[in-house]
Amino acid sequence: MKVFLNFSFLRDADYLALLFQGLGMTLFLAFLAVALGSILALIPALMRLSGKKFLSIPATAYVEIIRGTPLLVQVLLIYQLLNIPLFLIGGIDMGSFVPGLVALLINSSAYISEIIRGGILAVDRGQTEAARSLGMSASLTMRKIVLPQAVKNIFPALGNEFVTIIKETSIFVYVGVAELMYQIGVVKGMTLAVTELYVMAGILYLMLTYPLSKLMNAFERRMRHADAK
Amino acid sequence: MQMPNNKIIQIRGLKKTFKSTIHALSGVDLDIQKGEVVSIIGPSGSGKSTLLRCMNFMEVPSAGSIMFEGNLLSIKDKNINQLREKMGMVFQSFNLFPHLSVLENITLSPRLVLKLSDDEANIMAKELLDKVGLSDKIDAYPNQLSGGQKQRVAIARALAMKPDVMLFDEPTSALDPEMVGEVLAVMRALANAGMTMVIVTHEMAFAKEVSDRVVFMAEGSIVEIGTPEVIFTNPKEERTKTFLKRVNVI
Repeated sequence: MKVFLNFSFLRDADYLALLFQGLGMTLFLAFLAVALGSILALIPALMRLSGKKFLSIPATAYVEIIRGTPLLVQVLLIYQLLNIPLFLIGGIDMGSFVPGLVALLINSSAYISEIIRGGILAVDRGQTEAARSLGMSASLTMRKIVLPQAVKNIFPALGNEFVTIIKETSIFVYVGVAELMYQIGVVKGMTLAVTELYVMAGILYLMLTYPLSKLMNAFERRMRHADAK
Repeated sequence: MQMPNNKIIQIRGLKKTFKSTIHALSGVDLDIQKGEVVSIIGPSGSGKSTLLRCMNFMEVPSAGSIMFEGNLLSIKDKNINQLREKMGMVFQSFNLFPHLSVLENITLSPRLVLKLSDDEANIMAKELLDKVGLSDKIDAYPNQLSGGQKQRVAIARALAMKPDVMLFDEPTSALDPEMVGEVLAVMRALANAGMTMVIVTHEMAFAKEVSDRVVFMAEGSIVEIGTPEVIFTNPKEERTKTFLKRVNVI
């Protein structure tokens, strides 16, 4: 076992820059996955809640398939199917970034749709009844009454999903998206400080996820406080 | 179609089955006249709330028909939203919108559904809050109100749609005893102003005082309908007598 670790590569600004670029890409991917994924997730969530079989069955199938298969399989499959040649936009290779993002969106939207569905179902039925009794249509009721209240249930869980996705983006090393694990690999090839870089990777992920978890907890507490006032 | 004999609600052969086993309503006929106050009483589980909730299709009947102002209610009918505008409903658990202020609770539907301007809606909300004695709570949020205040706001909210009939589903059952009076006072004023009202209630004294007719239900059917004097002092049916004895009215 290697006991003495040598982190001297941290003194090299170029290596650090690569690692932080990777960290930035990881954060960017995870953010897009949650932000865009939440919007996309509304579709299967509302389809499942519609109570109409021809809408709820495909949506349920989608959610179950995505949640029941590994992200790695989904990413590799999408990468293979899209087969976009290498071209750069803003220094990012779209040939790997686009399929990576598409796969991540498909994946995150399935998970988030369940979060949204749960959040909507948690809103008291009496709210819908009151709105409908006032002559509001189903869609107006959803937009003005149910969703604004569901957001409070959805938001904390969305934060957790964000944390999960940050960690899961490490899978993109397989398709060559320049996220954190990819850059760790690059620096590893140049310094051969393998163990140290894996430790470093863990620390950098934790630097993202730990404050985020704390932030979400604080946010959740404030929400609960606002409810109790 | 013209309204026959001032009947605002006409219920025929109404049946409701839950989960295909429990018969909540087994064939109910009932007419509500314009301007009439009808109380529905009976033991819990007798189907009185289900009957009331069928009147605006909050509960979709399993069989039978409901006519409101000459229109047949149907769940497929897009007009169900328009018919519901004319049928105010007050719930046992208030169901105020917690993310909206008292003013917004009242003005939301008039603005979005009736397309009133903000000014028109606000003026009307102020009048209604004045009527229910809560002008000072206009900017409060529901969680800052007592149960009695919440229910009075809920009544104002329903009235803001200018309904032709008000449906009350056990409006005082979730209230602390000291708050029942303030809600009943608002309802009494409404009845005196000529509003058509259908009230499911356990407040026998109130039902006796304000009702034109009282409906006694048991086991999903109407057992007896009559004036409060007849039902509360001289009921014909044995089941009505037993129930009223148990709740200490006779």
